[in-house]
Amino acid sequence: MIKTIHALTLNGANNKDYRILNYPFMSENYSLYKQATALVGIGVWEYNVVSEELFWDDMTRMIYETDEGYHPSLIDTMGFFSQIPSVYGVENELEKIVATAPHLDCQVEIKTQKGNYKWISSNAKTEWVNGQCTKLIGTVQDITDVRASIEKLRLSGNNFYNAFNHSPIGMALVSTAGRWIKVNDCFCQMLGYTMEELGDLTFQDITYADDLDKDVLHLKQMLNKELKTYSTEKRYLKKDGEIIWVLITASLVSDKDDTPLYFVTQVMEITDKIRKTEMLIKKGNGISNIINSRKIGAWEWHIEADVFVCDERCAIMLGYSEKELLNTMTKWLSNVHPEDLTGLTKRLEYCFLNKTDYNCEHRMRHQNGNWIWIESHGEVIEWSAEGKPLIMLGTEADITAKKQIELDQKNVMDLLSVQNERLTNFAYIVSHNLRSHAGNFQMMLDLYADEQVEEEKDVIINLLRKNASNLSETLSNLNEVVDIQLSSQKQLKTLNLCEQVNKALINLKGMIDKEGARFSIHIDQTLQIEYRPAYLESILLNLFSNALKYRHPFRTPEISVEATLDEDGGMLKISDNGMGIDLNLHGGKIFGMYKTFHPHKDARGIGLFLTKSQVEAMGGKIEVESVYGTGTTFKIYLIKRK
Amino acid sequence: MTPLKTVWIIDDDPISRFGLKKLSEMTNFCLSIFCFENGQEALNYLRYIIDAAELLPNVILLDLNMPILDGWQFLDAIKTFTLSENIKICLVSSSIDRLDHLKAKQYTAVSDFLVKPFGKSDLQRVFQEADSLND
Repeated sequence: MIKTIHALTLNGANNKDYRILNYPFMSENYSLYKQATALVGIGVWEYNVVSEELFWDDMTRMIYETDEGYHPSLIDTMGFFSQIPSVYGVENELEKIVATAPHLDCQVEIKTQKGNYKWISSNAKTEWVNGQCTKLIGTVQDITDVRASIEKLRLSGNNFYNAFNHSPIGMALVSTAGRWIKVNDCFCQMLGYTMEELGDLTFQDITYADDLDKDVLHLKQMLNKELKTYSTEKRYLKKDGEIIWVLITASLVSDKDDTPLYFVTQVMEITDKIRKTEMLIKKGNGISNIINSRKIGAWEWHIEADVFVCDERCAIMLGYSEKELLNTMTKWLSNVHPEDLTGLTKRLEYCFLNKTDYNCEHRMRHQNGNWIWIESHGEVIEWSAEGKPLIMLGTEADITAKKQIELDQKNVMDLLSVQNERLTNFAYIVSHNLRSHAGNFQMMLDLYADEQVEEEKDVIINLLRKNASNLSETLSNLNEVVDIQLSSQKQLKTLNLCEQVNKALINLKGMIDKEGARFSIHIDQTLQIEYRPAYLESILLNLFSNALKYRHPFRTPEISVEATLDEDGGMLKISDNGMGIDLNLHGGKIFGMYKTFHPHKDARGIGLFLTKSQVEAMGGKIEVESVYGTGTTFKIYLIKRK
Repeated sequence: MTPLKTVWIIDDDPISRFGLKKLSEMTNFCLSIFCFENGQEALNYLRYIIDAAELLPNVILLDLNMPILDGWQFLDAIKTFTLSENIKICLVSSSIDRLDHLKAKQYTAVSDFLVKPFGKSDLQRVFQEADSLND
């Protein structure tokens, strides 16, 4: 170092006076300059190459933190440099300056006299006289703060690269053209490529084709400064061809002139999440499809305010185009079938009282006027502190079809049980009646064999004859019954009921006249029914003749015949003022075969059995009301089978 | 063995009635035989003589299927009477319906069930059992 300083001084004379500091530059301008430099914290120094004298001003001394009167030699100043390479740096610079360069600019770290480290920026300028470097004039500035900021930046830069390389999420720097500038390990692992392999690819190469347009559009928007950053879910193709879902966040890095440099992209794999979401959506769709196909509507009821919110399915179910038409429970309930309203209200009350679920099947009026069957389920989801129900959620399902099937099944079951009952009855009748005749034959024949008296034998023969004729009558009755059981809906005819009634009365004219009976007919003359003519005739004759046969002994028989027609079919009512039947005693067997209830010589116990069979064979039913000693009313429901 | 004093036949069928009467006579057990065409007739007569012990029957042959008041209804009706246990009621029917036979067991008053047709010997057995009650 000393050698170097000597070299610097090769061309200059050794002028000791230089140290006296009466330098004309200083004397003339010093005070002004001193004020200015103090203002900006810049120290000034001057080195006379010839005299090897160094001048420091106060500010310089302040920066170097020296005593007020400190005057260092050039070599002394070298002692301040904290690092040897820096000293060499200065020497080199000085050599350069003295030799050729007109200017010096360097930044070095110094250790002040007080022992503090500082960064300084030093500028120097040479003065030349006759081709000789005579003087160096320079400034010194404390730049410790600036250096600290720069160092901080450098360190944080390292942090960024550490974060980049070791991040658990994929990161990549992508050129504006889509080429990979730098990618991290995680990104490579995610895609199954090495960094080198990715270097040959663009992001377009590994993006799933369907997602590319959207991606490119986003990048363009960023390049056009329309977007600062963007985030999207997209698919990448792995090296092995597998598709993965990623969430990428990209932002554009530009230089200070706002020229785009590259994209910083963060990539997180979300394949699992997407699969779960897809599954949920699938499930959701499934549930929604189920709800749609089952015709289930949902509703919410804010009980205190009576605000009823139902979905469109509820409204559609009832034929309403706008669900607002059903915005209170009161409105909703006004559509419930009157017969079902009490049951529904009771169930609601029970649910509120016992905090249970609410379930109810009831009918509701569709806007087209039809009744539909609804299955309601509900649950109170919010109770007040006092235990009052506040909000109830529920569903409504249209179960009309199900109900219709249930109804059909019940009808079929009813019909079957009626038929079964008739068959059992018939089997019993056949067995009983035929057996009793057979038994009579055997008993009479046994008696005949034992009988010695001829007259008695004749009696037995007569009884055998009678038994034979009874048997054939029974057989013909049974035949008639079988005929009714087997008859189908064939031979149906449209009959005028009033005409048929009058026809029956004409047939019974002799009997009516004999009993002096009075018939009053209240039937609309235009009333038509679909019926089997023979049955209607038989039914009317049977009931009319019964009314005459079982007349009250002290009263003129008065018989009223009425017919009404309603939606369930027609009803024929025949009332008399005859003896009446004790239904408590005989009610169970009034329509039974061979059941008679009056000591009347013509009572055969077959008429009402046949009548009932005929009415039922036509799909209707017969009912009886009677007060013993007052009279009897038969009601025949002429239901047409569907 | 003393012959039974009285046998009642309650049956709506005249042929059956004739046969039962004839068979009863042939057993030589009865002093007198009363015939009724249905339960109601028999019930009416029973009400009339209920306090005259000597007129009460020893055996009642009761048909089941009858008009007006059938065998079951007759049995129900006499439940309200305090009748001597010496009166033996024998159901006489052509019914082989299991339900009828089960139902018969519900009535403590019923001691026998004869299914038509039956012979003299069956009736004889019933009468003999009734007779032993009187001893």
